[in-house]
Amino acid sequence: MLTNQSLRTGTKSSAVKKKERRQFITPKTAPYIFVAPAVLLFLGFMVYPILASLLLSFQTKVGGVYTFSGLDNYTRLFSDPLFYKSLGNTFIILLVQVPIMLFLAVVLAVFLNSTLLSMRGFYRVAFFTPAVTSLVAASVIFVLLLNKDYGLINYLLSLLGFDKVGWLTNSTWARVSLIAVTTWRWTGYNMVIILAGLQSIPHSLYEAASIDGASSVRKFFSITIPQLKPVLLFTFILSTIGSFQLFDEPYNLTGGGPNNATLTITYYLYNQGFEYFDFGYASAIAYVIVFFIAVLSWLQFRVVRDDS
Amino acid sequence: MRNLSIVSFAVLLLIVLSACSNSSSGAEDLTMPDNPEDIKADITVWAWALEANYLEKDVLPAFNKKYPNINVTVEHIGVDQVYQKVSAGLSSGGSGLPDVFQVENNRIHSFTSEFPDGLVNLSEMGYDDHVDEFSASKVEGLQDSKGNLMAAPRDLGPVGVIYRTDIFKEAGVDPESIETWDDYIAAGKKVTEQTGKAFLGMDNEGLFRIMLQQQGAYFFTEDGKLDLTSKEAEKAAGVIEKMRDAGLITYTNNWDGQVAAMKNGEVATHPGAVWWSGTMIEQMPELAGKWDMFRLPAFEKGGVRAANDGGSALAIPSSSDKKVAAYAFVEFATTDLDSQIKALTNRGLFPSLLKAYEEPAFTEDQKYFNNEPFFQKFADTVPDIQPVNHAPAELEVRSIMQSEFESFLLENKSAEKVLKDGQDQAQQQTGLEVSE
Repeated sequence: MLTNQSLRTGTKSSAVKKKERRQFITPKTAPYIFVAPAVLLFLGFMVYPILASLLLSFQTKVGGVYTFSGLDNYTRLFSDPLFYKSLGNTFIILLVQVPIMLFLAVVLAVFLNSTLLSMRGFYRVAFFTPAVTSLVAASVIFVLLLNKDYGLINYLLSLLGFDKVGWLTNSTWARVSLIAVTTWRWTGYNMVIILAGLQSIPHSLYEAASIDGASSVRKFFSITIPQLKPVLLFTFILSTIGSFQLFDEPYNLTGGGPNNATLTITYYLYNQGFEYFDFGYASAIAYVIVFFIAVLSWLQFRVVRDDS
Repeated sequence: MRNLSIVSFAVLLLIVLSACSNSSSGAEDLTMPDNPEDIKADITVWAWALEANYLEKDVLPAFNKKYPNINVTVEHIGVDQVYQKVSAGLSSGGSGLPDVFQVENNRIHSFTSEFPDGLVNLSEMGYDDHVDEFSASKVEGLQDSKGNLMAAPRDLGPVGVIYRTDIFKEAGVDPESIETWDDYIAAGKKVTEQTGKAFLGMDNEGLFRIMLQQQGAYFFTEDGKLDLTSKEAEKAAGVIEKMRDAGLITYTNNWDGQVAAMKNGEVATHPGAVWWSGTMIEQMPELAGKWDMFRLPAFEKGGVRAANDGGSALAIPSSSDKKVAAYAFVEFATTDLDSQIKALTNRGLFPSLLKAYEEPAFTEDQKYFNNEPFFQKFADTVPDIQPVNHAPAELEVRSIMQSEFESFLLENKSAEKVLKDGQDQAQQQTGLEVSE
């Protein structure tokens, strides 16, 4: 902190220096000092690992020592059938589960926003609960419910005269189960966000539409949906990122099986890193995930912007 | 106000400190003192499940009688966490590691290849004096390429066919007559006709591994090349294919499914390791007296009827600065005869120390197992167990083959295609050469 005067003379009296040292904390520096702990933690535990794993993705271990191997991990990745399979699984979940879930979330939010419904608070809590329950506990319950031979669901089906379904042991049904469980878990969460969006829509718009004689369906499509656009975009991006990071559910429900039908891309990353100790390859997978999330988020932004 | 700057400086210091790990230098005296009481140290041990109970409850009291000044803390940590924490610790130069940890035979090489100096060479510490006391195949699996012992042998998993005596009687099948896999399949057809249920359950590639080992082959050759389309592999997969096509196999999905199938009488046999006995006694007490074992069927009359599945060892990380005390503990826990017997009787863990097999605990009849010397029968197979090469890529290849066998069972994939696809996948994943 040089004063103008000392700049001009190029010298600083010792008195000024002493004063400056004593005044380490001034109104100007205080904010930096306040944010310093957070910034340091962020640098140490976020920025550094991000950069380190980028470097790691260009390295492979030879005889226990990481050596630079150029794009080897990436070329290996693009000829790895299991990578494509896990990517495919992830996209199936993304394209099937996210629209179903968000549609349900919008419908639920609109209903819960209606003044005709009594006990609204109770329903909101009830739908939001799955998002805050322990995933492992919930998964254990689902594994019991979905068990092929002793599960409650198959028991009820057999009462109705259907055959037993291998909910977690058949490739197709395992995906269905996974989609159902993730929908159960995250619908309420998105519903709450959308509900907040609904409540920020000015009431006067609906009144004006009523005066013009619009039906409630018309009001929904012409007022609610357009007004919700930013909120829907937000939930879409969150859900996309969530799908790409889906790990806990397949890990606890199916272990990625049967025959890798529920192996998600993050699960594959976990296996490569923590099961096979191939951290270089795992880092390469991580960066591919980052790339996909970035592209998809950008696309979703573009789509919304083009509309308006 | 000035305190704030001190606080932020402290935070910075903490980060810097936690970033550098304090790896200890190797300048410590590793000679074992003559008097056990002279070793004074506090050591930490990581192990899971039965082994952790064994070390804490069966070994420690006797160990402390001999070494009163070594204070041991056994931490019960899940198997995955042990491996994760150990690999993270070894990656960061040995910070936060215990003085002893449990490691399975099939995992040891992924550690020694990944971290060549990560574990203490037990041969240098004098363990070679004991090597002859153990089953040869067990010890070979714990040595590095130069013949140095990297972990001390603890338990084994000799394999046999565990079967339901009552179901066999009903179907009129004499287990003594089953000498080859063809006999086994014929018996299976008889039993399934009688019961309308399956003959065995499968949830992974375990049986395939057992059959490879029986023939002295494995996923890998001696020199670490992939070997999934060998003659032996074709034979093994061919036999399993015959079983599948005869309707003998039920897909049990996972461990719990396998347990349930056995408990509910869905299967009459289970080709598996001796440590299943612990689970069975615990979870199927109502079937007491109805189980027994016969030796693994051979591929040809007079062929090998033994294999091994599982088993662990105890290793010392190089980062430990109490290697002498850690070694004393490892040596005691693996070579003390009384403890090995307790491991079997209290925990169902089958020791690899050969002397133990002569003890009454092995030779006496087991009520649960048809009043037969169940453990003795398994012990008799140990000398025939073929050593195999658990290369570092073991787990990757296992998981590839597990997927292949899932599609084999669920989607009727042919055995030939299972081997070929498995080999291609494994080569792609591991970058290993394929054996000619």
